[in-house]
Amino acid sequence: MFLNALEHMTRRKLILIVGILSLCYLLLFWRGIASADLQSLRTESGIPASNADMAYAALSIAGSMLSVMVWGLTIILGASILPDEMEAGRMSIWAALPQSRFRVYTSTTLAPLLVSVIVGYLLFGLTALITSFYAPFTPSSIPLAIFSMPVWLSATWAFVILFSMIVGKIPAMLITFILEGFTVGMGNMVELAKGVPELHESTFYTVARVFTFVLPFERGYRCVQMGLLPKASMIEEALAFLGFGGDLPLWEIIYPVVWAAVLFFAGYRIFLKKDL
Amino acid sequence: MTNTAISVEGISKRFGRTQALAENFSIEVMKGQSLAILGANGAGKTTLMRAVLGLAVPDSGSISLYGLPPADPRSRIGVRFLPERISFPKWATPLQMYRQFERVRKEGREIDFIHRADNLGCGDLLNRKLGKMSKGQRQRIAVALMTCGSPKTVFLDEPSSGLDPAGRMLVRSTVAELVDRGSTVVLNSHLLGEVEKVCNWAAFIHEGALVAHDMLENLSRFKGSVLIETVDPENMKRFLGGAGTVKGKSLAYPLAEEDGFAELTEKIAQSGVQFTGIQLHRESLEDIFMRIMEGETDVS
Repeated sequence: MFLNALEHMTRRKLILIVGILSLCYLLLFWRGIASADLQSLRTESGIPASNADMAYAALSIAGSMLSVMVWGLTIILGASILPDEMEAGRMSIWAALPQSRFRVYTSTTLAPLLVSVIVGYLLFGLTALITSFYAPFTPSSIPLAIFSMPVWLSATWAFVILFSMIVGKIPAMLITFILEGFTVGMGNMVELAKGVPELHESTFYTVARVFTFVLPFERGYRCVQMGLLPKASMIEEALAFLGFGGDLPLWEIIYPVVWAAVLFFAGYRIFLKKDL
Repeated sequence: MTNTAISVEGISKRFGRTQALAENFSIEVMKGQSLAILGANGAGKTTLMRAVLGLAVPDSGSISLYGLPPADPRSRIGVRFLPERISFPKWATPLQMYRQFERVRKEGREIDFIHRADNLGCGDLLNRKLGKMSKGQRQRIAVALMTCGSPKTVFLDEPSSGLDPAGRMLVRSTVAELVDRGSTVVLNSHLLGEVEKVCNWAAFIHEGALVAHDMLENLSRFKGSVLIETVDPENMKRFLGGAGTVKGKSLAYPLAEEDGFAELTEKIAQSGVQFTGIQLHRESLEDIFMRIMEGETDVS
């Protein structure tokens, strides 16, 4: 059943569009970084930028764009998988086969997560690889980047799957997009506050912190970047507000997975009682 | 070992304000039975099928499929379901769809599917994308996918939908073949003429309630005449005292009571007039349907 869902998913025109866009992006990124005069870059204090600084700058900027793309793909695929199958009348056939509803639910919904994670690995991985040709660097922790990719995307995936069954495909996409954007903003505030003690004391910080706790969409993304970006960079401190530096407590990495699992099972409870 | 394939006991189902299946709906289907579920649009026929397959959860009561609740996947081993509306992915070919189904059900051989598709007149379409087929072609493929091999039970919801007369005939013979081979068939169709030819049992549903459930021959009433097929109907009419109506090569002879059939048959045999058949004129399924749907629930 999982293979069926995966086969169906990869045949969608959306995947072709994402493939073409990704290729265009990678070619443009390659061309951009190849034509950039990296040697003339200076830090604020006038010191020539190191390879690590250049890689940090290139990857942190590219990462913002990539994250929107991968997030978007996860939201669109996740929001449409169950409603599309139900609308087409195929879900009743799958569920009438000798397999449990749990198997139908997990197999069908895990396919978009896997596709998104693979696209994420390819885009972030190839971007880092291209960058390393022009500004050789050592990522802080490749295992952290690899582990964090599914952590990051599973939170969004579980949320959008659940909402697609409650409010339908399009509203689920819109709600998730809006909340994602808002949560990233809040997450940036939390990171900014880490370097500004006055902010740390404010109510706004508390609100932002609570928000990122209730909707932990962006913790995983920061961990991907943390693992991918070079450690020995001078500009890391200047870009601290991005939240890609420093250390993150382990529970902040684990928490989105637990959160996603809870939402995933809540979605299953709805699916179980649904008339197909 | 029980002989019951499907057992529905006291279920009810409501969709919002609509009572799809009335309180205390019960029905039993034996193994090898071919049951037609009949009723007007919105009567609850599809809901009943879906409830039996575990696709719609009843509000009360219990259902068992081969002794197991529908939630148990083992209850659906060898069970096939063709819904009324299905939209296959446009990119897929029939063979790809078959392989997708087989990944889960693991019941058949590809050759059986190919044979079934051949029998349904769509064997040449197996490598064509479903998105490039007509509605009728897709429906034939759908029927082939759900009836290939040796299914234990087949639920068919309007299987002839969108088919031309030739396609309908092929579907009918497919269903008849399944019945002959001992499969339990539950058929939901508005084409009563076809249903009559392949089903031996019928369940009539009216506004969510089961109003009649019996063998077709028990549901069909005697219409007060006997149809005698003979080469010389006028001579036969004279011999029987001048009663009856001649129509082509047959004579419709009035018979007050069904019990008089044996005596009449004997009389005709002694007439010396050549005849090829004698049969009681009974209600067609359409007649039964109209009678029941017009509110006459006393069908015995």
